[in-house]
Amino acid sequence: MPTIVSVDDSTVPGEGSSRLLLLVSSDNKHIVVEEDIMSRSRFISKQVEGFEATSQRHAILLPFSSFVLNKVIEYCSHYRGYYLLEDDPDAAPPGRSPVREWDQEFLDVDRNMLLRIIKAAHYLEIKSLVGSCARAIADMIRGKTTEEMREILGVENDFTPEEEHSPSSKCTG
Amino acid sequence: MDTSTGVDDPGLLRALEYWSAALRPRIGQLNTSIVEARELVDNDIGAVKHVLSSLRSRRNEFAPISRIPPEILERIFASLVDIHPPHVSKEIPPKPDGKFLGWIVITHVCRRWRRVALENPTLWQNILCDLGQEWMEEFVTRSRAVPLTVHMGRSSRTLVHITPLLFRTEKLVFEGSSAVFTKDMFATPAPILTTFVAHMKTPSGWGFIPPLPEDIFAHGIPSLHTIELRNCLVPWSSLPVGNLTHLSVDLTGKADTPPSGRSDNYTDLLDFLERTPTLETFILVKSIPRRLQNTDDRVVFLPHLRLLDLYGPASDCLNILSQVRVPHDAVLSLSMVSINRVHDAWYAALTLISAHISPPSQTSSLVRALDLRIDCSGRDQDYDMSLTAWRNYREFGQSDVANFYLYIRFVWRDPPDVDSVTKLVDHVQDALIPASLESLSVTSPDYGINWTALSKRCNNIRYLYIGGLRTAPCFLEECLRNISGGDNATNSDPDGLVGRSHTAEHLFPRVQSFKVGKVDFSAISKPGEMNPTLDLFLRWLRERKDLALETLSFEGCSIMSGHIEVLRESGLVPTVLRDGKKPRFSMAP
Repeated sequence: MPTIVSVDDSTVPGEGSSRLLLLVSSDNKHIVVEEDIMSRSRFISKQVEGFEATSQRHAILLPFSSFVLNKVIEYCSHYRGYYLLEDDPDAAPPGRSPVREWDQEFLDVDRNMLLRIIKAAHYLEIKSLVGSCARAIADMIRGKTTEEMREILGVENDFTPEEEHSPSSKCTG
Repeated sequence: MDTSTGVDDPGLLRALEYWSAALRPRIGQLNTSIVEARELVDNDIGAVKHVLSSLRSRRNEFAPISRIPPEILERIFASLVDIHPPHVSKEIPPKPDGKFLGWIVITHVCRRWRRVALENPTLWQNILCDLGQEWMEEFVTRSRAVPLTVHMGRSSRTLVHITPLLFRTEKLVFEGSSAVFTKDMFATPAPILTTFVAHMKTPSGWGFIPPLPEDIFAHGIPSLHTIELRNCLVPWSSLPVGNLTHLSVDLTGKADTPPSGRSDNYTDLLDFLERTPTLETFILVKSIPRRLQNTDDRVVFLPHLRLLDLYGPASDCLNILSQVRVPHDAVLSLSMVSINRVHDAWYAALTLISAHISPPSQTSSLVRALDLRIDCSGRDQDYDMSLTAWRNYREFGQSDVANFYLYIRFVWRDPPDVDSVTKLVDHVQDALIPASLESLSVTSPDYGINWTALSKRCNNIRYLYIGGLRTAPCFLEECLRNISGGDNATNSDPDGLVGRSHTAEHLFPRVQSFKVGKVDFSAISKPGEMNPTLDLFLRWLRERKDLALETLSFEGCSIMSGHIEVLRESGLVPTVLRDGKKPRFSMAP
């Protein structure tokens, strides 16, 4: 569950023409961002709706580092104002995520960073970013053998001898 | 270091001592007969393997990929299912190394992955018949009760395996030969079938289009709403009506003549449309029936249509545009082909399209952003002019049909003459470029535009992209000509700037973001000098201090870093960018 703390008025810039949110990362970095930018996040939108009921300004504590949070903010800033079908709560879920050129460049990061971003996107309920990350990870392991996949993602073959030859794997050669 | 084991890692040494101590009494018990001892040792090795598996599972829990929730892992697997299907060739059967198993190899990576994959039935809902009976059964079992998508590929010769699955099939996809179809294929109830796709390969690559059985849909498929036919034919009169929302008929493989013996099918098409008011997407690619003289001229209204996509001879497209009325917010995508001239039907079509995007009920045009491309150079064996229009900035530049509002492509089979193109460009400007336009992108490697006329027509442009070897320099020349008030250049004042009153109209006076693409700015007369075209740029910027230009950017241009610096240091534009930093078109003013 997100932790919400009340903050001093001096911490958050006042309500002007565009409302500002204070996001606090797990490494205790305070990041001020326009609400409009983060509106792609269903999680943030729901938090903001809660704030309106109390008329109190709040900070939103998030369980990931400022490095990851800044990447997510960069993504949301890039698509600020864009309509992306995957993020439309009223639209039917798309069968597959479209491949966006900018996303491919944006997600050209190391494996661990990619996993951190997808976790953060999942937490923040940004479906388009989850989809793009999932596609990037899928591209990473596409066409690889099981051994190569294990090596890429740092996992080991933990099947027992019986599981290795279980009925559930009979169609895998 | 422990000399008996050769291990010097203290952690490993501790583990070794622990396991040795634990196993020593057990090993001591193995001093029985040889046969019994071997059996006991084998059992112990088996047990140790289980323990090892548990330890490896525990180790996997610390891997970053294991820290993500199963629903994300499922999402990754779903992406892999899309992009990496199993290899389905009878010549090369699946191999144990997993090379031809496609995404299915994930079930052999580790326990967790297998568990997540097997527990998610939607991953298994795509049944590939070409994989063979055993695979099909496995997929059907693993997909549990989830609706199925059944693919019949080129090596599938019979429907016998899919008939039992029809009751839970949502989408049926055929790729390959039309020989598998029978008139009774839907005699078995298919209560949840929503989508029927038939993509046929044409023998010899062109000409013959195989017909499907005329009464293929006669048994009734209650939920069917989408039909996609490629390189196969179903008579218009045989298509199911009532629920159909999406129809696509693509006869790319056929020769240019209309299907023989079907002279009445234009009327049949109108009949079909009249009986299918539910249609939301209607796509005809090289499949528009030819209208014969004296056929009926009734107009059919499709009140729910969201996309009308036509590709064919200009006159055929015009016939449909004239006789099918669609809502004003419906997307039009038209590729109209002529031989080598500007076809009269194009002008007639432009009038209809203009009425579509600027309906009398609207105070202003629905188009706010527009991309015009002219390529008559013959490169890529293509002679065409295209125009894509969007209703807002959010979708600008996204070529997905789901995003644009209007796409028109005029295609010449043979090289057109310049006069024809000029005339057509003028007509397109008049008919389709509204005065209220705010974003404009023009690309042409070989064709100049009358920028003064264009600027006069739409002087609200805030975001401007100009690309192409000839187009961009032509724009700059015209800018300077306007600044200088005409062709008054002298030897001492080659650009005619000195002492001229700025009476001529400035081009695009409200432009905020200006991007130039695909222009070679690398030529210089001697080291240290500015490229002449960029020099024109600087002069233009100096003369246009009234501009609210915020961003100047170069994309795909050959340009020296030093010249970018000169532009930056001039202070004439707050932001000067080069490749990789594209100006944003997403911010509505």
